[in-house]
Amino acid sequence: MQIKVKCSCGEGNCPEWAVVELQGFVEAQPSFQDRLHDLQIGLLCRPSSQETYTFTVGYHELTGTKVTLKKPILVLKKIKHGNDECEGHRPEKSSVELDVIGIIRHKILFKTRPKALISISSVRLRFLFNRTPTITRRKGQRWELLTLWRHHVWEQALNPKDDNDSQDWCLYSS
Amino acid sequence: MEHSQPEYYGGAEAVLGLQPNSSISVAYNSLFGPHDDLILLELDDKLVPEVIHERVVLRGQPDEDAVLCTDTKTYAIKFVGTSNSVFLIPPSDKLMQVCNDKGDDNVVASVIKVSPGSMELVEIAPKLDRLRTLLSQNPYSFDEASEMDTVDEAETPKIGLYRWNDLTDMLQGSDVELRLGLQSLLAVEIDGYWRTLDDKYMNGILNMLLHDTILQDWSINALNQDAVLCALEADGYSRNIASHCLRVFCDKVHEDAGGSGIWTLNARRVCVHFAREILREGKMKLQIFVDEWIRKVPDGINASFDILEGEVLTEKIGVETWVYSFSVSSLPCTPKERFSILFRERLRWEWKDLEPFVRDLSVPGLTLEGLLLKYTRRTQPTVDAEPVFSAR
Repeated sequence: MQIKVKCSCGEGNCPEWAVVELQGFVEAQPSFQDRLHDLQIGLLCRPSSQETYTFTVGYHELTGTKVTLKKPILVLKKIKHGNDECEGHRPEKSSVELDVIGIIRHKILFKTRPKALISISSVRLRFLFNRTPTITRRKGQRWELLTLWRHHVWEQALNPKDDNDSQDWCLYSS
Repeated sequence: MEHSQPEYYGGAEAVLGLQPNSSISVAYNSLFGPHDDLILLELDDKLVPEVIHERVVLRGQPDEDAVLCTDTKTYAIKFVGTSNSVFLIPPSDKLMQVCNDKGDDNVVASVIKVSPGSMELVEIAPKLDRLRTLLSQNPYSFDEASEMDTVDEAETPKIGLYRWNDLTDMLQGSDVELRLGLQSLLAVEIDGYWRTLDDKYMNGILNMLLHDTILQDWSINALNQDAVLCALEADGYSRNIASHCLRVFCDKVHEDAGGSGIWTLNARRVCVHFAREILREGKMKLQIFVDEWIRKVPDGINASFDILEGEVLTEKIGVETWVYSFSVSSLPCTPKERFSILFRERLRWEWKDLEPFVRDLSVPGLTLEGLLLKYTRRTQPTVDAEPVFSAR
């Protein structure tokens, strides 16, 4: 069995894809888990002319850099031409092709532990809580502590009862 | 893509070209999902043009790990996972750019997928051991050659016959490596199928060639291609097979403009052929073998026993030395299996005996010394003694 690797970009003009890579996981608030589409993850900033970037996710800020990959990465798309698959015999014969649709040469890599942002306004905060995900790590990893600490501080700082428009916040804290 | 975008989707360009003192919102695309059909392949810079110019192919059976082949090399494909979150941001396509008049305030870099890892390539030796088995199912013989076209072509079932495309479908190696493999098995393409010639047939045509050489008083170091092919055709061999015989037993020393040329008999291949022929029945006493062998080898070829290295082994039984056929070309190409068979054949090998049976082993990134270290135990009784290799 053979799978041909094609390139539809033509004459090697493969468009470059971007990668934003960070440690851990980004988790949407439970109310948004089923509708991630168009949901903001965070804000990517380039504060100076250097290749240093910040990525603000919720009330976490990550600092990272743009790195050139030692080896480029091709983005391949698997294309199946299996129009006679229902025939049942030798389904592996239904031809598959891989199409090169892009190339990755750089990524913006955030490999530092996230820094908590504690000086932002409550309006902005609520916006973030409403709409943006948070970064977590698996149990046993050190960031878990940070998360716990953050819960504690913010639940004290924001008393939902004093807030006229507290519905979203309740969603988050429940 | 959706027809109405809520915001302008900036693509990879917006992220990679982000200006100092500016920012961009990163969001999930409206088509965000697992997108299992998107695969990342990490590879050397030098391989990128190969892929982009569509010169690579993945090969393998459904139950095998696929390999990636360029024209000349074979690579294993390994999936390397990551525990990081890798957000993939594609370039904005044309439709998205239509919405570009909204101003930069709304620019969003949209993530299509979080990648679980990427494929990486490791250069490996081609896996061609099956080639010998496949081609040995149905070697080309005198019977078949004399059958000619008595049976309707379309009606005969093609058992054990393989076309080039069948071989590339079944075997994991690059085109160049597969051609080398076919060449080393002395295979030839007959009516579209890659075949080996059966021993009797091969012996027949070589003897015919040597016979013609004597009859026509040709020099074995200056065989005229056209004359040889014509003579063999007159003897009843097809031109294709006659050319094959030339390629197998001779080397081209001079090429004419028209593709014709002058060939010289390859001493080693002729000597090996006759040695195999004699030893087909089993082991023989060395002296009897050598006498018979020298008688068979044509005049002008110096048949010294050394020329048979890698083809025969000798052993002492009592006072007599015996010789038997043991050909490197019949051994597996993977080092592990090769050494296992070698040490089953003999517990201990001197270097001069072992070398012809291992020098063709090639594993990318590993030298022969490395292979010996990995698969053998080397003992050397004294500093100037010959090292002896045994199984590890």
